[in-house]
Amino acid sequence: MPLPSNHATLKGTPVSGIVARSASAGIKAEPQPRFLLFWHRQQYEFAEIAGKMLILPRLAQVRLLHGANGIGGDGDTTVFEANMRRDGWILLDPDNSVPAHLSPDGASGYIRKYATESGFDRYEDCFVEVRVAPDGTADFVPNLKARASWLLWCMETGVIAAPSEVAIERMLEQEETRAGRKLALLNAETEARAQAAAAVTRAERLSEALATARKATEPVIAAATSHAEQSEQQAEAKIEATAAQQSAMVDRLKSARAAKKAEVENG
Amino acid sequence: MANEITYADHSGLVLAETLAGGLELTLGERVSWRNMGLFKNYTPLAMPGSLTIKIGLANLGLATMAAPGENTGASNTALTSSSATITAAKQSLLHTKTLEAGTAGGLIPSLPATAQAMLQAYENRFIALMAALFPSLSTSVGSTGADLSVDNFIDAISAAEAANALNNGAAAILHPVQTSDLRSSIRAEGGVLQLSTEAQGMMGYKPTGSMGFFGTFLGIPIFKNAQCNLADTNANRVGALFGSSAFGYFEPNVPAEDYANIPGAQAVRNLLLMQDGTTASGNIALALHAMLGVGIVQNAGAVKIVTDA
Repeated sequence: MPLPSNHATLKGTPVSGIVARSASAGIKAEPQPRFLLFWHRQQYEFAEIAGKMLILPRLAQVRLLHGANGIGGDGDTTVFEANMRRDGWILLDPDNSVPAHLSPDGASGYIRKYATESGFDRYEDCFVEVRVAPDGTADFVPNLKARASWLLWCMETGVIAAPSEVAIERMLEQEETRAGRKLALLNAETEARAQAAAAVTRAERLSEALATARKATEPVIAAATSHAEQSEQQAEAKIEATAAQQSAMVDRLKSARAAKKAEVENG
Repeated sequence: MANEITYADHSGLVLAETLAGGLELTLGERVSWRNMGLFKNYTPLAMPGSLTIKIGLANLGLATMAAPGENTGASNTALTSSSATITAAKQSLLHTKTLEAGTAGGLIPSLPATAQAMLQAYENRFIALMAALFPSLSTSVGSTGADLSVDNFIDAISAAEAANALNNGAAAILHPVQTSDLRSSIRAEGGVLQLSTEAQGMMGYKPTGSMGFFGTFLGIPIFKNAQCNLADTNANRVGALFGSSAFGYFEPNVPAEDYANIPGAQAVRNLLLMQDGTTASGNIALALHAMLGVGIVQNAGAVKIVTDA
């Protein structure tokens, strides 16, 4: 099935990196090829939109590049679409799956094209707001609220099947498993903290006990110190007294010997 | 006019040297993703008359016997379960060198150097096309608008292992935002992971080289590449974890004989380098064309990883 001309795959003259060229009127942004949106059966996700938790279908945006996904040089997407269908994907019609009243810019269809400075186009979906600064640089900001509103409409109208209870239950189980893993980590951390706290308490108690023990031994140490000092003083006194006695005795003996010697010499 | 022809012939010779040497070397470059062994080259399956190849997926070696019971015959088990197709398309890059640029010289590269550099553009295109396959993978982990976490990565490994996808090697290609988030998540890990040398190795900067090697985590070599682009609505990025059965490529040879007598044209394997001059402006245009197609061969062989942008 050849593509209708209004969303033909991007084709252009390859860009020259050497030739000097005046800037075109396009925005300053990288070009992006055209794309199609698909939804795979049973693929939903929890999404927090405007503070509310919603179950939304998870879409795949597949860029149409010549040479990838079975798309040939002519941009024919027949083989690509057939392969995707066989693998369980549902194509969201680019022209009719977004009604004008749900699109932020009021136009129907989800593909929007922007000319870039390089000369190639950039394709975005209609839920991406393109904010352009005066110098041409562009920011691409997704309008998640509008997109969620459209996805809910898709499920209400049957464009995308609403999730079955089985699917929701499976998602909840997966979330619970993840939460369980995190809880286990948290528990391990809590236990480690408790053990660390207990170790600190024990260390504090040991420190206190040591301080108490030190206090108890202080008089003993003081007594011991006092006793040692007294002993030393006594020893010193004794040495001093003995030394004085002995010195006196030596002096006396010396005097006696000198007297005896004088007696002998005098005849 | 004579000068023009002489120049073209001379340049053709120089370019022929580039093609014979550098171009072949670049094609055989070991750091190329094409040659990492996980993207299968299905070019030998090409048949004349088509740029599409069909790859039958055989069940050989995967079937299990059953017991049909007494007096009951065995029922047939099909040998092929499904098939995949890969369509090649022309990929091109054109550089034009003006007379003024050539005269001024300086930073403007020579034509042979330009031709050599254009081969990198081919590798870049190969990566871009491969990354464009990721959103089409049916199995997915991660959440839109949420950072990639170690949990997501373990989920991806589990999902791929459940499909027997990682029996012959594995790798993951992630967007730089995803590798950055994964690093943060690993940093916050407790338990056995925080003590692994792999986890510690993921923390540091690495000169990533042309393939973008980021490190090995849980046994999976991880590469980062900004081509892993938006999966939808600018709110997320899509990377993939895959085994050797997931992706294939097709590089049909260009008909060298058709270009043998065209001055300035050189055809090597699936590449065609052409140059010509413009009389009026004096510009020289150099174009590299390549025939290339990539495709998902076995969807269950890979898991896409969708996280925030």
